[in-house]
Amino acid sequence: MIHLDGVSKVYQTPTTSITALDRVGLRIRQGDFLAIAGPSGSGKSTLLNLLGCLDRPTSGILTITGVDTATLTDQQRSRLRNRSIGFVFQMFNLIPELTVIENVELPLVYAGMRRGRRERAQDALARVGMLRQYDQRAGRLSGGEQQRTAIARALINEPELILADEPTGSIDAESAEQVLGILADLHSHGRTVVLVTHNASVAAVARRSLRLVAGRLEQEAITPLPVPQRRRRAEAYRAHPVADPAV
Amino acid sequence: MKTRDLIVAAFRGLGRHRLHAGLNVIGVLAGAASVVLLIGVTHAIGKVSKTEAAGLGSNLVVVYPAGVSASGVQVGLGTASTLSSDDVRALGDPGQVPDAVAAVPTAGIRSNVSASQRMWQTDVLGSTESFASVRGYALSEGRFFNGAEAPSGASVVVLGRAVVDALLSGDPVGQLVRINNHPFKVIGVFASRGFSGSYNQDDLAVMPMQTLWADVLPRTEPRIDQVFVEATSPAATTLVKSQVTNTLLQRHHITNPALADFQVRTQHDLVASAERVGTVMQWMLAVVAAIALLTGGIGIMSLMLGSVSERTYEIGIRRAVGASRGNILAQFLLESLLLACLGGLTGIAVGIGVSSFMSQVVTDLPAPVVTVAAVVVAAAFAVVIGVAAGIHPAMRAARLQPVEAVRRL
Ligand SMILES: Nc1ncnc2c1ncn2[C@@H]1O[C@H](COP(=O)(O)OP(=O)(O)OP(=O)(O)O)[C@@H](O)[C@H]1O
Ligand SMILES: [Mg+2]
Repeated sequence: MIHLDGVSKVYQTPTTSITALDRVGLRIRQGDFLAIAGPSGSGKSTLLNLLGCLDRPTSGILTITGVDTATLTDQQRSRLRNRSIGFVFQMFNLIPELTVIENVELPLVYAGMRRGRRERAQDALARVGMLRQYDQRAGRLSGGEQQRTAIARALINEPELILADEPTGSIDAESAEQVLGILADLHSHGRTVVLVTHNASVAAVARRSLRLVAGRLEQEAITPLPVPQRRRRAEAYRAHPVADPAV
Repeated sequence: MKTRDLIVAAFRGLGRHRLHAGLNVIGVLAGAASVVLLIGVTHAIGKVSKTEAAGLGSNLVVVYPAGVSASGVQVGLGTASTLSSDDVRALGDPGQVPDAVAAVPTAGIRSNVSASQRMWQTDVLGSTESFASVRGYALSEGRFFNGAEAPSGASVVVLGRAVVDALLSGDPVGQLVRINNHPFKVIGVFASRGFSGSYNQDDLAVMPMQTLWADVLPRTEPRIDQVFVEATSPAATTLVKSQVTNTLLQRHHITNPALADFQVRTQHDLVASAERVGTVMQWMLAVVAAIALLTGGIGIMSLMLGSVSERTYEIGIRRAVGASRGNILAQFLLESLLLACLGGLTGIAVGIGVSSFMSQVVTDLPAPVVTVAAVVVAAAFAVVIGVAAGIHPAMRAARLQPVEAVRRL
């Protein structure tokens, strides 16, 4: 599904140039669940932003579903982000002035959808247990609630690819469990998930795991959770969805 | 993205900085209001000065002494008039001005007229026995003074309808009124003529010139403010104008016409100068409106630029979930357009409100007329300002890279 071939990203600052990614080669198949670990500043976010068409590589080729992204216009890239990719960031990235449901509806707005937006947003919110607070300003939510709202927004357009950049980095352990459970559930429904994290135990929920060091990709040393254990985690989430009195 | 969603997004954006937005809108508001008002005032003034000039009578030529502007306002107060009674006599002489029927001098002062306990301020004019016929005044009661009363300085006066209504009850003819502490006998009343533009033609009192000089203006030298020369026909006014000019130049021993100590105007000249006044007003309107609108535009632009950098984060999120450059451009452009339209619409409303307020409160000045054209022009300006002020900030917003916008330090 995604092909990286010798992809580099160099940031030019007035004084120096920083090579954030150094000739990275990577294949991500449909339905994969990939964790990317690595120390701070190793280029994890940079890589994820390239995968999500938020940024362009300095050199190298990035193809998504067979299309070389360098050939896409801004409009095509925007459409790709809108229809095929769902983002979850460490810092939640909700528009604080909008309500929870307005934030979740945003991808549908840019998809040009008119009818049935509310209903779909409500469904997505119910899946992450946030329906009860649908009318609250996003800026007033707790960290865990904001992250679950961001996940609802990421999956509302039923994208094939979910990109999560340290989704558990700013929330408490219990919320982190919920968020990882939701990601595992999405994977079990056939979505491709790429998860960036510092944390080895977080990386363990993924099917395979890679490590970035100073912009270079290495095979991860730690072994992922065995498959049955991963499955159990996802099933646990399905059996006990996050408590939501409105559902 | 649907247009309705775009408008919603723009409104939400505006809601974020309501006070700031409100302040910046005031410039556009003032601009739009002044466009409406000044187009209205120009319209009214043009109309009024034309009707006033037209009300003069199309076969009249007016002579002003030096020191009196073309509108008849005395400039150098107390200076003796350059026109004498002998000049007037010469202008009425068919031997010197063959195409004139008569020449009538006037001098005047704004003065109080009283009767019993009442008092009224009016234009007190001195003239000769031909005044009524040359200026086209008919009499509804009594008579005008005659050729015997005029030079003798008889204490008689003919009143306009407005003065009679303000001061006298019963039959006015034969009653006494006091002007400058002298008693005058009312011998006639002019038939009502109503307003000419904003000027009430029924608000005057006319007496013999000698009487005015002796009893009303005793402390100043006898002076003549204007001489009305009646031509045989409207077509003859140009001819009369040159005959009058030649006669007076000769009498005043002036060889260079540019140094003439008098001015001669036909009705045609007066209409032309009224039109000139209109043009000057239009230019002033353009300048005032342009300054206000420019200020408003700059205000909106700086507001929008601030808003774009403040909302880098929001722009990044929108881009990440699928907004194209075009979507972002449209959102910010629409926001600026909304601001300008808000200012434009309130400005138009304020302009209309002030116009109607002025027409009720200020009665002796031309009230502005609100025209559809003025409203359309003001609205068009607001739209243009909105787009012009918004295009640069909107393009800056659209150029933001989604990563730069999402990256939070
Ligand atoms: N816009 C930018 N301009 C200049 N340098 C940048 C920019 N973005 C990232 N970098 C640099 O690139 C390197 C990789 O950054 P990146 O954000 O990808 O690291 P990371 O692995 O996500 O780190 P963390 O775990 O702290 O989030 C860092 O040295 C960073 O300073
Ligand atoms: Mg990072």
